[in-house]
Amino acid sequence: MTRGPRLAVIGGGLAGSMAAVEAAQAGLTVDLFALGPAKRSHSAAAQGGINAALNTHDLGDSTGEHFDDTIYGGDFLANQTPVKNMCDAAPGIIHLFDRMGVPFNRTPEGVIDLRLLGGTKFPRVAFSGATTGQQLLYAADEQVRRHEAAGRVHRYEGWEFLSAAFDETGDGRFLGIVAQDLKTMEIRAFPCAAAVFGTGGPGLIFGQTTNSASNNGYASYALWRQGVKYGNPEFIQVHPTAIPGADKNRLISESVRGEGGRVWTWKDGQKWYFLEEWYPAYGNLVPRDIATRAIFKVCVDMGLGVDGEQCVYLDMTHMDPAEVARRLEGILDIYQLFTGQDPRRVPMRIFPAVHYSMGGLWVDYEQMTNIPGIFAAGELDYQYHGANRLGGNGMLSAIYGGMVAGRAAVRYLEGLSKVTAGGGGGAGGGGADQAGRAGSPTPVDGEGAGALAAAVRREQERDAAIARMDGTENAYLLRDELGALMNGNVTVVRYNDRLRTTLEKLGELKERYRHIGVTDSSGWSNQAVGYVRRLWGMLELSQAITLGALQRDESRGAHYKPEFPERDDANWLKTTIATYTPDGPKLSYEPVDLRFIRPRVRKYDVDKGASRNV
Amino acid sequence: MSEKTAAATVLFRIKRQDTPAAAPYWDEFRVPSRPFMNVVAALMEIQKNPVNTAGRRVAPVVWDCNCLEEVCGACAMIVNGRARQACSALVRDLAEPIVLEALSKFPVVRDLMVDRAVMFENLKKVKAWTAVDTTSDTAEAGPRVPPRVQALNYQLARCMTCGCCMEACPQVNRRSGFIGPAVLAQVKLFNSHPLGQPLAPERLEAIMGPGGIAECGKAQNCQKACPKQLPLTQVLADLGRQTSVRALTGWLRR
Amino acid sequence: MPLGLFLLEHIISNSAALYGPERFNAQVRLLHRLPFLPAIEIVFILLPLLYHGAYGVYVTLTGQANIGRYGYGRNWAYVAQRATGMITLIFVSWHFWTLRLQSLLTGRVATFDLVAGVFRGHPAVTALYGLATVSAIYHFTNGLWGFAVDWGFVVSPRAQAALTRWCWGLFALMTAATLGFMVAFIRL
Repeated sequence: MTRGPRLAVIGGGLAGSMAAVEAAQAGLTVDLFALGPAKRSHSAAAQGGINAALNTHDLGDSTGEHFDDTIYGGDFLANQTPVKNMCDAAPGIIHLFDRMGVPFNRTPEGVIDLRLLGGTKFPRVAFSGATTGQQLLYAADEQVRRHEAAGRVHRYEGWEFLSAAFDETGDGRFLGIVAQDLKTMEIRAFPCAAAVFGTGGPGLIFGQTTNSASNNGYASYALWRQGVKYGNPEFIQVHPTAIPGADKNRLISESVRGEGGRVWTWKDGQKWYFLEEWYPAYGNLVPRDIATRAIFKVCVDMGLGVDGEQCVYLDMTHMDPAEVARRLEGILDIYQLFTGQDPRRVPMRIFPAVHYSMGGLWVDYEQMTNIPGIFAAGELDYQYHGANRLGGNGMLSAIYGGMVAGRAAVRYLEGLSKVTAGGGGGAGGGGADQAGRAGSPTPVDGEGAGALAAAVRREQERDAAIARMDGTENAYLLRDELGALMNGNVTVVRYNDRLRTTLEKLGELKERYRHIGVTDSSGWSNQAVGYVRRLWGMLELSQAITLGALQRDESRGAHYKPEFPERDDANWLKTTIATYTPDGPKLSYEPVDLRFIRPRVRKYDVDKGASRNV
Repeated sequence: MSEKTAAATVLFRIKRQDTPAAAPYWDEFRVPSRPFMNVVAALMEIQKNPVNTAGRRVAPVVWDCNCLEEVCGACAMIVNGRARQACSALVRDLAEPIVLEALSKFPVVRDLMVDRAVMFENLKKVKAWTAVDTTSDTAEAGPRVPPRVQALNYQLARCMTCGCCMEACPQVNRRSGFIGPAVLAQVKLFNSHPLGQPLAPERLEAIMGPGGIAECGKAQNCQKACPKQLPLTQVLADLGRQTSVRALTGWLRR
Repeated sequence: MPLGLFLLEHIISNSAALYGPERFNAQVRLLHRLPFLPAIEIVFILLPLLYHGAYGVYVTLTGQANIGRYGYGRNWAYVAQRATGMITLIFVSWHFWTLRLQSLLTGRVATFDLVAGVFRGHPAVTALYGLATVSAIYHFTNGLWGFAVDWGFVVSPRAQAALTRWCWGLFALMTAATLGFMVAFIRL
């Protein structure tokens, strides 16, 4: 056994893996928990690439431009300091992953090639075919494995995080986590003074999305229930280009447009390139919220979907097939498989689908939540994307956030070992209130052990109660209803009356939840009980998302209300903070860090520079 | 629901096993058919209505999946006799009844779910990583790589550790300790990366012993079974060359 | 390697039968006059044979054929290599017993007539003999391919395919020679 403080990392994707690598590199012992093998995490599904102002082609890009594009693209809702730090760190991150062995596509000269994605005028995206996320994830996972072989990382794959444990009778400090072995169904406590969470977004709430089957959001829900604040829940990204499917909507990467793909539909017997017409400055490479709303308008409001259906064409038939194969390998075959058509010869039929949650657990600039010792990174946090995420920034924020969280957790644990018992708070800074719960490097004293045991018992009882449910409702069908409800009312276009009805219906679904019948009674590898547990989390998180959307009477980024079509900085340039209460979420607001760039009107029919001079 | 949709069903025959120690048995389900439905979507339908063709309410089928777009490797299983990803197995391309079995070369956890930990353990044995000094920004770009080399490395790096090659390989079974093609491909990948090369001798030593490359039987099923078309047979022959050179001249370099 | 060369030599020697009994018997006498014959036979033939045989049995036992599910050409070759290996092992044991060990014990040297007697005795024996020798040849030529791939002499798919064709060519040649001398033993 290794001595010294232990760090728990929950989530094996890019954020979790990078946090684990950072901590292991600093000499900590890391327990890494994930629902399955880290290589199967949802990060693998990221396609287009990762932003970094490498300026390989010397077209005038800089980290400053990257920063500005990100803030502008996020409609000024993101705190600017962490975004600036991330953009400054991006080139170094690409070089790191290059050293870690990621086969980035190359220019003929052998340097890292860059391509365009939406919301910028510069080729800024390093990529590896069209499976960049997979390649970055594998590289991170390989480094974790290196530390694992050296005994610094212990993997608990096939374990699910259930809740955090606190010293409830004493000072309330964080004592460790409670997790369940999904094979044996054993529930156990793991003492630790700090934990980094990188458990991704809650996409499954919306039914058929581009997300993986594991993106259930339960970890974020469980932490929220235990007092972690949730920031900007209403900001949900709907990706403009996906193929609808019965099991999921498959993403067609933005890189298709980045490489020259064009979006059009028939209008008066002519091909109508509506993005190019409406947004001459950026054309097909407008950010996702803009493109999604445009496609929605064309299909829903104007009734001009292809063949009267809810879809438009994404056309790459004019592109060189050899070049397409080299730069977009990995996605075209998937389209062909699921539609039976070759996208190199026939335009793809696509429609928007829920893709990413900009909102998430509130963290300070060191990725620590309002509970000292609990860190969050990746899609799980709310930090980097404001009201809309730009393509290529998702993987960057996951990696950067994970690395910051890992390093901050190391400093936090070092700080604890210096502080005497009962001393001050955490090492993290950032202007949040961290009063109340102070940590300790040796959490498992007598009382701590008792609290951990109590936390395990609570989860065991929750599990047993679910296993006893023998009503008539089917949890999977209930989730389908939830998905349809949320997808229909809380995505691209939002109306206050429908949001209110949605809140009522969520209440009804929560009532019907109590009449679920659990379909599996096995005590071994029982998937049904866990599903029912997570469904409750989805229902409660849905309330936060819907309430956040209802309250925000403006339009900003991905949040669009026809009744309030303009951005309203005077009243709404502020971060939504959702706090859990047993009676439903309570919302409060906090100011946005605007110290570098003054908010300006966001429009993509002209260059952002033009708008800057307004 | 019209009669037409009610009539269009697909018959699934699924090999089930309640626990690792339990005896396997077969269950049959009728699932409503949809255009471009894949095997995963059918299994999801069974979750919503876990009633078998005998009309009995049974536990829903347990299986592993995540990304559903053939990039994570989780949902590999035997579909109509062939190891493949269930998410990319379209019902309309399959003969009925569609027979689903767990991969046979790995311990069954439950129903269609198996434990492929051995593959990840083997990745550790062959040190499938580059030895970077630090995650800090060294203010230095990595080595230059010609596009041709990148293309081959990308091919190899797409291995998603799904286990299809292991399933198809006659040399991988309970009586042998063969490490299998997937892990060997990673040896080739990292031995050819400039920052992976310092560990190349150790990787070769790791695959020259029992369970190593010599146990390849050259049946070459692996390449045909690989859902990502990794050039596995070429990789294996190339590693044959690397290990031969090392076996013949390695002692000279000690 | 030594075994393959021996098989080649064996077929060439036996092919002497094509030119009549005298040539064959002369060839046999020539071989028997080689210096250190027992040592050569033991070191270069018997020991490799025993090693290869034992190792082959082990390899075959650790394999798990699956041509039912994966009926590809090379997978058939994989199974055929093991099947012909087993046939060859049994055949060589018997062959060695009847035509070499017995001659050591009794002092009788294999002559044309002796061999011809075996072939003319029973059609089934002749057929089995033919099957076994063809098996041995396949085992050798396909093994040659495997050797070249194992040691990394041929790497690319194209080179592997080309070598497959050459090995089949060699197989055809050696089979023709073998069937030829068998016919010679029977006819002459």
